[in-house]
Amino acid sequence: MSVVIEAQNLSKRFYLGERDRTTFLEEWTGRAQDAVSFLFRGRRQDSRHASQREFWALRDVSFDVYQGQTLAIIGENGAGKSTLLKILSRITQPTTGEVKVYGRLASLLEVGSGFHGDFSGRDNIYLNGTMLGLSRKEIRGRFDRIVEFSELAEFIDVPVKHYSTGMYMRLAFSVAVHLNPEIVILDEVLSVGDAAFQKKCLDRMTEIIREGHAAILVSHTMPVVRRSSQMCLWLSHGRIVMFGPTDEVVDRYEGESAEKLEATKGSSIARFVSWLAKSRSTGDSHTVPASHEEVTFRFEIELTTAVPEGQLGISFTNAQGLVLFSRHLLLQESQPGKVMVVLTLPSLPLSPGSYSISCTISNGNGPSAVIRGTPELTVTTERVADGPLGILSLPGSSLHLEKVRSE
Amino acid sequence: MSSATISPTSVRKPTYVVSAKALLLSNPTELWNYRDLFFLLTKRDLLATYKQTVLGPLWFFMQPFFASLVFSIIFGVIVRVPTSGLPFLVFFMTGFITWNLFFNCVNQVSQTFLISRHIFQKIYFPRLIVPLSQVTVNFLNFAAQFGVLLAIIGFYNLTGTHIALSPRMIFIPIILVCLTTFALGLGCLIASWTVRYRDLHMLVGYSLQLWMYVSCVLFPESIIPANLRWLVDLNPMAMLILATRSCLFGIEHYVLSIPALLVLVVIAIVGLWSFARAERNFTDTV
Repeated sequence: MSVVIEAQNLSKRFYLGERDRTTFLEEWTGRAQDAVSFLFRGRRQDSRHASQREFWALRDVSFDVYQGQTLAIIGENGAGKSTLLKILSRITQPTTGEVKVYGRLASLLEVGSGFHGDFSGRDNIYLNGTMLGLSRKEIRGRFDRIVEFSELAEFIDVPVKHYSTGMYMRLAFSVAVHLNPEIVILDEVLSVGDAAFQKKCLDRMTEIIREGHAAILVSHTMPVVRRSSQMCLWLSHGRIVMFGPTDEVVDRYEGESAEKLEATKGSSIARFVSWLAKSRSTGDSHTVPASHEEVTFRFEIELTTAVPEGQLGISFTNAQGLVLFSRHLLLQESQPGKVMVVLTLPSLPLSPGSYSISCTISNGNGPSAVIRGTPELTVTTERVADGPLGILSLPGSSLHLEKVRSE
Repeated sequence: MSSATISPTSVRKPTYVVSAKALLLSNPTELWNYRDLFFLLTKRDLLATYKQTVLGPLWFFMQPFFASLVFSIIFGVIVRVPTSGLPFLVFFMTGFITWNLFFNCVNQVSQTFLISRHIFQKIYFPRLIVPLSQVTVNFLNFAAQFGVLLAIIGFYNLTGTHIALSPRMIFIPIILVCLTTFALGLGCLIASWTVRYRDLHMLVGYSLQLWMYVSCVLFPESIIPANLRWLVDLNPMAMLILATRSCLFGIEHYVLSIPALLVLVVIAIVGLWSFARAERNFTDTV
């Protein structure tokens, strides 16, 4: 197998904080001082970043990617993933090390850059395509396929400023996926209009990978990483924690993440002990059907310190982070120990899916702290097929057709 | 695994290498590979200026024409600057469109990193493509304005005011190459500084306006007092503007100034070099 990316000892240093020299005068007098001290004391110094803190976004990262292979890059936010991708795609130079890239590299991180609103979709396909390294001739050859893929044929001569965001992104992605790159960089966070088009893009990318090209995938979703990559690079604070076959790396990554979660389960004030949801038709569980029945939630919380007087809040959040419902109660002076918080809802009109319930507690007049270990509530519905979509499910709602008498 | 189709790594040449040791981010020869981008950017910028304007391309002829008209009234009729026998309008317009070519190039090129940073942060291509296409756009606009100037000269000749054109006109392309190279270099130099000092381009605008008044745009070389000669001798723009008028009309026999030429070459080289150095890491600071 031939190598397509060879990265050796890549490091990238940033300086944090205010620069000492923000004017020309300061800059050049400072440089002159450095030069003088070099001449007379033979000491080479660089006082440019004296008061700034050094920060290594990447440190000694080496890896290879071979043809036909998908490499996943995992790690928490700030681990150095995007810095690494920026170096690979030549946006910025590393501080140490080098990377050799064999073949055209296309990244889906860069879609839609360089579009000009006053110009038609057609002009922008050419402009964006040449920016990404194609020649006009190459674009002419695949123009029809790009337009067909974007499903924008009838708008192709309209200035893109009149496009909706969805149309704009569709056009941009269509150019990106038709680059015929040897190496593809995929970021999980794709926001291309509708879900159907997003799937189409991902399918096309998978197709490119299947044709034997290499890919780099950045993802936070471990099942996706396991399914689609053979090798995995785990970064933390700019360093490689582990580089090897995906299953081994992900096993350890998940193990460690679980441990970390366990450690931070309770805030300093209180922690969750257990919780239950109970409705008449089901017993005690963490899963309730959407219904117009009364549901009772019981949260057992252990206070670890005495709370003089404060507030306790419970809120329901959906998968998109939207707070759907929230209630607060005043906490009287409480001693450390277990308390039971009981929430009764007359009905649970939520559409099926999973929701997180978060509990906040404020100690006196201080800010409220979230009690960690968010419970996951799953709401089910009996008939998924014709079940309503959206945030709310209103049990008892109906939709039907009525005949209109023709004239 | 079939070994027949895959060549050993050692033989293959990488498409590109990103290295901490590399002096430049992009290999200068790579500019050629991106020539289509250069053409399309140039075309885009040319068309963009005309889109959604009432008068469209006319603006480009009106602006220098009216500016020259104003100069003619102030400096010609009121101050009475000697113009070596040329009609005021022709004298000022020649200087003004040449200066404008320089001014627009420097002004636009110096903002390259500020204006294109959103693209630069996401896509790699040789950054110099952007300044090159800006200079080309300005050059084409200049060519159009020069055409208008020739038409005005023709009009004067038809209506009885004789304006002779010199055969030395053939040197004008060389002057323009020097001028655009200088403008590109200076613009690039300032652009690489604006990466660190954001507000620098404000200063650039004012400085360029002041510069115009010491560059013989609005007066002939003959009225410069002897103690201020160095302003012209060291100033590449004064040299180039005088040379333009001299070659076009055969007036103001001006000799090339070696110090000014040296300034021109040094700034052009230093400017392009700083630009190439700045493009390596500018996304870290902007």
